[in-house]
Amino acid sequence: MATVELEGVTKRFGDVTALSGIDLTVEDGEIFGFLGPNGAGKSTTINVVLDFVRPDAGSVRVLGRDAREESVAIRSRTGVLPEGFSVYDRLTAREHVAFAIDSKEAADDPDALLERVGLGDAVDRKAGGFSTGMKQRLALAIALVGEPELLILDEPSSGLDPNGAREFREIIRAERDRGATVFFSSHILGQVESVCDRVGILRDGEVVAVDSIEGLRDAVGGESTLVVDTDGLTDGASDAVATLDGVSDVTADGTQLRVSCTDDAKTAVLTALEDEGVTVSDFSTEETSLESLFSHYTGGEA
Amino acid sequence: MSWQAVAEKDFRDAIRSRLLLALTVLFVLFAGGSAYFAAQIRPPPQVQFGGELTTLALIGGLTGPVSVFIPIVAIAAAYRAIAGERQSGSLKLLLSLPNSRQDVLVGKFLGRAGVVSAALLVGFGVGLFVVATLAEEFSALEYLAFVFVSLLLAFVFVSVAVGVSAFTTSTSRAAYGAFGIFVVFQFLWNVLVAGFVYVGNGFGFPGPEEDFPEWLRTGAEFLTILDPTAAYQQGVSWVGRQLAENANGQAQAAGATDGPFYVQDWFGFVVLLFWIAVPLLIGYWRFQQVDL
Repeated sequence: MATVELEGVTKRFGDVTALSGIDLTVEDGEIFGFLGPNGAGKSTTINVVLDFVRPDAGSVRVLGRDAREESVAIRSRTGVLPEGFSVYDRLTAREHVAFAIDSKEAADDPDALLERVGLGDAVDRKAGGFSTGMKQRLALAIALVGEPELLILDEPSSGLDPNGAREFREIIRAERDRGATVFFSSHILGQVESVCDRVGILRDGEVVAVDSIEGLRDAVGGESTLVVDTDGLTDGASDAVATLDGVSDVTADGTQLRVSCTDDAKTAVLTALEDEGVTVSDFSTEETSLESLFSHYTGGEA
Repeated sequence: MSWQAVAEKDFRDAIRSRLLLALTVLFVLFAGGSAYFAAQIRPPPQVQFGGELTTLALIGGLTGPVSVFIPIVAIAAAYRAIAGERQSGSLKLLLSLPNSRQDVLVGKFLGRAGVVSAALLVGFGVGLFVVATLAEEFSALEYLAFVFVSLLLAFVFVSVAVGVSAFTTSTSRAAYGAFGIFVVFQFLWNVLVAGFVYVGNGFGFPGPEEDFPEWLRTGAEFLTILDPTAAYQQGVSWVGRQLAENANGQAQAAGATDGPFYVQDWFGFVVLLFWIAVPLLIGYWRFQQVDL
């Protein structure tokens, strides 16, 4: 059964069409990543699911209930990390979580939840003095109250350092393993790729593609770009690299070489360049951009 | 029952932010000061012309200042209730929990009404001592009844402020809106009533020789009493009359016992309850349909 079901959801803000006919299904017990650039409509979609925003058309069902009519019943079984929230400056971390426990009539221990999100040493501090990352951790603790069946996390890793983002991913996996369904949004491909079971890609208010994570990896795999700075390219260098297995495209730009290749081929590329007598001064890998991902799914229209 | 959680949290927030403390200090200064002023410095006319300084006379002197002070304080305490949380973004946290928008509106109203009540009761409690000391004939019952009617007036303006607060995302607009309504009630209502008569009479006031059309007189009377400030004064006068009747064991002629129901002083309570309910209902109607 589907935990979240959107059908033909349309939303306009004045002249701006935020969502134009979103169809989306999040299945029970999966981690569903909602990927798209800022402004694509991710938060609007989530706000529609939470009944913060009312759609102009379409139907939204969450946990088998109507998102508008039975929003409170839905939210009592859902944990939410909303976008653009703010904390209560004068409440401590523990008071925040305790209020959520009261509201949900749950029986959690606030300190244990805060410990779990890495705020164990800040339980008695007022949230007004928290950094963005700490506020994000606090909001995750609030979302975890009452062992929700559904977790909705809107850009959960914003403001987190890489270590914090990794801790969040571990918590998300643990929640999925407990049996929860997780629906989270991000504009960063790497985060979605590393934790999700399935992914929906949103662009300009439309779902461009819904794919398994293997499908996404295939789409991403061949498109990773190795950028090599050299002291000077030889005539044969580009050709030598282009013939290697796993290399799909090579472009030379002055002393810089841009190689589209699989991850395994990167070492071979560097070795081939050295064999050609090219001195490599620096190299880096460019993450696949969302734009190139879009062009993969939309057949190069981007 | 999560409106209770919202109300309780709102009340605690007011304690933490020292809003409750500030309001209490204001009420103590106001109630103590104006009771002293009415008793010692500028007593009501009937006392000046040789009457006794009774509790009722003192209350009569207090209603004027109270009907200005309470609305201002109530609005100041409540105008941020919802708009403030919407502006900052904490409303998203509140509504991501299983609270309905109705819970938020009702809880906020009760929370702020509780804060204003607590401050008002402490302040008027101090006023009680001043009145008890200064009045030549003191009745705690009369004073308490007066405090009760004053609480209703406070609830009217908490409701106005919370209702307006549910309408807007900006605290400054919430403040302008609520104080604007107060100004209309307090200072412009008579102008509105006069305008009603002017328009109803065919764009001209009746000359000195002419009679008011009956419906116009009725309408104007009804509109006049719809002003919550007027209703408050009616309520206070009803309380005074009831207590006086009980004391004397007979009905007195002082009350407005003639005329249609809406000019009776008890109707003031109906008007006050009306103005507690209507702003909240309008605010809710708007709040439940907006995008956050």
